[in-house]
Amino acid sequence: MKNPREILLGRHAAVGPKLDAIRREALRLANNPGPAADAPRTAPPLLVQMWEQLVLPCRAAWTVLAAAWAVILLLQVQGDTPPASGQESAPLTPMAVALLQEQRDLRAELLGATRVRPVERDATPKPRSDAEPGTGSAARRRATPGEPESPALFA
Amino acid sequence: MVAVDVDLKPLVEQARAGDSRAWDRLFQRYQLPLYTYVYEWARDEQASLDLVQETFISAFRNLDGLRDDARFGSWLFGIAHQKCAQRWRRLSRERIVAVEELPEPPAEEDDNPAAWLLRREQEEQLMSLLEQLSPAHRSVLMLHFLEDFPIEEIAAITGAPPGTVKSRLHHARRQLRALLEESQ
Repeated sequence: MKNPREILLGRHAAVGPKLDAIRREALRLANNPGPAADAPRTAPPLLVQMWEQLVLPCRAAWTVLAAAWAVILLLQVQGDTPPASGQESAPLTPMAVALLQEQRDLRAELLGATRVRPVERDATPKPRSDAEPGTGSAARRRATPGEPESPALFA
Repeated sequence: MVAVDVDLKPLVEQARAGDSRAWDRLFQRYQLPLYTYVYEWARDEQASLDLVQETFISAFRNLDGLRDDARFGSWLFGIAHQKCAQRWRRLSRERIVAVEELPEPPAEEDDNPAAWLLRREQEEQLMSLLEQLSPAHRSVLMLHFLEDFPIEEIAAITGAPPGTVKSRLHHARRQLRALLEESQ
């Protein structure tokens, strides 16, 4: 009478030769993993290292940043685009020219009226009596104790 | 139960030193029990052969992970168990249910047809009874039958706590006995 182990193993005894073959193959593969695995690994270039250490770990953030910059550049390019050639080459009608001239004149008139004129300074000095009282040296001299104030101060 | 273990420690030591012949002898010792165990999971001859080969290669490359040389067998079965579980999970994800018929057992050369029939009947009966057990119970019982591993080593192989393994083994035996009595 067979025990359970013998029954279980006996059921698969036919695969013995195949198992021998895969055992040899496994040992061959394990002993010779291939030229790629045997070759000494050289350090990757600096750019590759930077790419692997800086960009790859946060590639999502870089992608979002790149997309944002792309949108900004696109908007800028659209803003700088000159008007269509049809609009540019259209000749101005005499009425438009007249209207434009009228606006230009009006603008010049308005600017001329509101323009702040520079203060014209008189090169010749004013007489000392025109000077504001109390500011000159004579006034300072008059303001000594005991002397009456200038009548102009009481005016 | 047949005593199946010989002293493997010297062979494992030689294997650690890189002796290919020692590896060959170790693998030769375990190839059929491993295949039998793996086949219960894979139910496919080619897949089982591939799993055994992967187990051998993995063992060869990761022998440093074996702490106790006396437990080489259970360590090897543990690798195979993990590979089977990985394959099973992958197949489950892919919703491929590989249910295939068992291969025909080898033709036996026996002069006594009655003995042959009796033996075939015993085998078929055991296998059909095992089929009726749950995978967890069958796995524990197979490891017990094939290698007579102790509870602790079966626990290490299957990743289940020793108490669970003990309970499963107890229930599997009792269930097997009940099924056997029902069939007779």
